[in-house]
This record gives sequence, structure tokens and C-alpha cells, in this order.
Amino acid sequence: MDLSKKILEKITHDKITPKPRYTFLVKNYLVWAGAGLAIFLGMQAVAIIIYLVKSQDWDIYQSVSNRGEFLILSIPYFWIISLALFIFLAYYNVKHTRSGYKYRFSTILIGYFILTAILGGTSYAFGLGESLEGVFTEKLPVYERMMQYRHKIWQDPEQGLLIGKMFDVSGETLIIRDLERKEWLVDISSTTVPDFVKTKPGILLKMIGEKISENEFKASKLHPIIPKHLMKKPPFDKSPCKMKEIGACARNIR
Amino acid sequence: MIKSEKTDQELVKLALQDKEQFLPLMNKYEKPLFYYIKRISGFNKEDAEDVLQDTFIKIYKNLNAYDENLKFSSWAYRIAHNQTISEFRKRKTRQHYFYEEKDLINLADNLDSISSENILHIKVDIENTLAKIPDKYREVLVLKFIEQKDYKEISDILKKPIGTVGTLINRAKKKFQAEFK
Repeated sequence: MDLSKKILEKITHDKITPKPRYTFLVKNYLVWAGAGLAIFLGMQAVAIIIYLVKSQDWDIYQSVSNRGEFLILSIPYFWIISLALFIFLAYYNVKHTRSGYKYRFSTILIGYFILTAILGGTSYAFGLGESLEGVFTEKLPVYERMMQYRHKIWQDPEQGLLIGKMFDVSGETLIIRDLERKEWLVDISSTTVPDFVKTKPGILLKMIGEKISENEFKASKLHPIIPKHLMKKPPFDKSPCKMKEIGACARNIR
Repeated sequence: MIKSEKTDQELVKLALQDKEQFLPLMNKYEKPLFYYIKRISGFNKEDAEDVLQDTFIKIYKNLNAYDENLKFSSWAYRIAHNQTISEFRKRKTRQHYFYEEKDLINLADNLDSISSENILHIKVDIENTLAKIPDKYREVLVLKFIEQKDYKEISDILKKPIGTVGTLINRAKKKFQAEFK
């Protein structure tokens, strides 16, 4: 008996049947869905990367003492590492599609970058990068803490830069705790401070000004760090709150 | 042995409806796959037949996964290749790589360092060299110069990009020539 007939007998005897077509279709759809998800996530990551790089305080670049450090701190490492993971996810899934083996790693990599750059750039243009970053910062305290390294460049009072959390107000003086947990008395008489800042202990403030003494700083510019999408909400931009309305105003900007 | 005039694609469709129709497909590919398994694995006749049986059963079980954009032969070779590699990993034994005279002439015609005229005198040397070089190089040399597959078919069998297949073949030729000297 030839081998083929023997195999056919085994197929009959062991009641072997072809696996249903849907099992292969489901598997194929799943890997394509995985590849699609990787592109979608990559698109969001690119949108946030563009937003973070563009929203870095480039206007103080000339005034910082260590520009190299400024540039290093401007790199959004978390999102770049995330993007690398999404690339791996896309590569794994594309390789497991029926025809994925035809493409080299470099082809998939370049294709992924082009696609996510176009989609991510478009998302950024529609404000998605900013909104998403705002949501992450607001909803994930871990993310907010992780991203604080980007503010480190403001911890340079000798060069007129200071950053810290405001925890008390006394007239025209804010009491600030900087990133090194040192307390500062910040004179705000020469700058305009949005009213809601005074009602939000714990708010992070960036300041440009002058160091007066070991724990005194005179601010000429002050910038609270809150997501821009919250700041855009009326009435904050167009009609600054009066002191007696501060409670309602703070609620409005939430 | 039943010979069929139908195309492979037609035979696949028929085999899905009636398992008896799988026989013509097996008849057509029994010999080529058997020799391919032997050429890349060095298994003896019995072991190679076992691998071939598992290969055909796997092909039958996965008939619904067959993509008609692919040559059936490439798909069958791919399954035979994977089954052979997996079986080899389990057994970890190789007897002897056996190649027929015409296989070696085909190979020699494509390798500058060997003359096909006195092939019988150097048959053992060629077989030893093929046994010595890494599996990935032996596999592409067998597919390209003994099985006479083109780049597209090799790409589909080994599931590697065509460019990578080209690179592998060039490296395999160099490696073979270096070892043969």
C-alpha cells in the first residue's frame, strides 16, 4: 500500500476533519485588530509628543544656565518609550498576518512611522494631544509625578527661574515650596496673578523674576501649570474673577 | 496511483467536501515532499515517512487556512518544512544527508567552486559540506538549486521577505564555497 492511501486511512480511522474556516478568519481579524490598535495608540503617542515638545518653555531657553540639560529635559521619554512598545506591537501583529512575512522589519518600521506621523500630526492639529495630556495629568497622579522632571529646569533661582507649589497666601506674598522642598516667600506685587491661583493651595507655579535673598523671590512673571483646555473655559480668560467670587470662579474652571 | 487533471486549488475545494479527494493532492506531492524532508533533515526513510504523514495530516486539518493567492506547492512545502524542523528538534538525530546525482549536478552548476563533470568523485565531499553548514544555509541551497524554486516560492515557504531570501542565498553560497575548499 502506498503512503498516501495509508494516510487517508488514518484520516478516516481517526475521524480527522479540517478545522472550520471561521477559526482562521477570527485569528486573522484579531491580528489585524492588534495592528490597528498599535497604529491608533501610536497616533495618540505622536500627538502627545508633538504637544509636549511644542509646549515646552522655549521662550526661556536663552535664559537658562544649562541649555544641554534643558534640551534633555524637554524629551518626552515616557511617550517615546510607549511609542517603541506600540511599534513592537504593530510589528508582531503585522508579522502574524497572512502576508506579513513579506515585509522587512525596516519596511514595517518606516510604514508605521509615516502612518502615525500623519495621523498623530492631524490629531495634534485638532487639539487631541493637548486634551489627552491634560486628561492623563489630571486623572493619573502617577503620570503627573512622572512628568514633573520636565519642570526641573525652572528650579534655578540664581538665574531668575523658580517653580513650586503654592500652599499659602499672605497679602501680596505667596508661600511656595520648590521642587527641593525649600520654602520661598514670593513677592507678587510686580506681576498679575490670576485670582483663582490664590484659592488653590497645591497649584504648581512657574515664575520668572529675581532672587532677593536665600528664601525670598520677586516674581515679574507668574504662570500656573494647569491644563490649557481648562484655562480656555470661560469666564476665566475673558472676565477675571473678583475675590468674593473666587469660589464660584474656581468651580467654573473645573 | 491516481493522477488528476484538476488544479491544486480545485482539488483543495473538493477535498474540503470529500476527504477521498485529498488523495490526488497527496499523490501529487508525496514524492517531492518526501525528498525535500530528507534533503533538509538527513532523516532515514522511516523517519522521513513519519514526518511526511504528519505533514499531510496537518495540511488536511488546515485546508481552510489555505490562501489561494499562494501556490499550493509553496504552502505544502512550508508545512513540510516546519514539521521537519519541529520533528528534528524533538529527535535531535540526523542519519545522513543523501542527495541524488542530479541534485548535486544542479547544485554544482550554480556554485563556482565545483565542476559538475567529476561530480561522482566529490559526491561525499559535497554531502559532507552540506551537512556541515548551518541549517538556514542548507535549506536555501536545497530550495534554490535542488528543488529549483524561485525567490518568490522560497519566500513563501520560509516566510521570509524576498530580499532576505536573496541575502541568505548569497551567504549560503559563500559559506558552502569556504567550507568546501
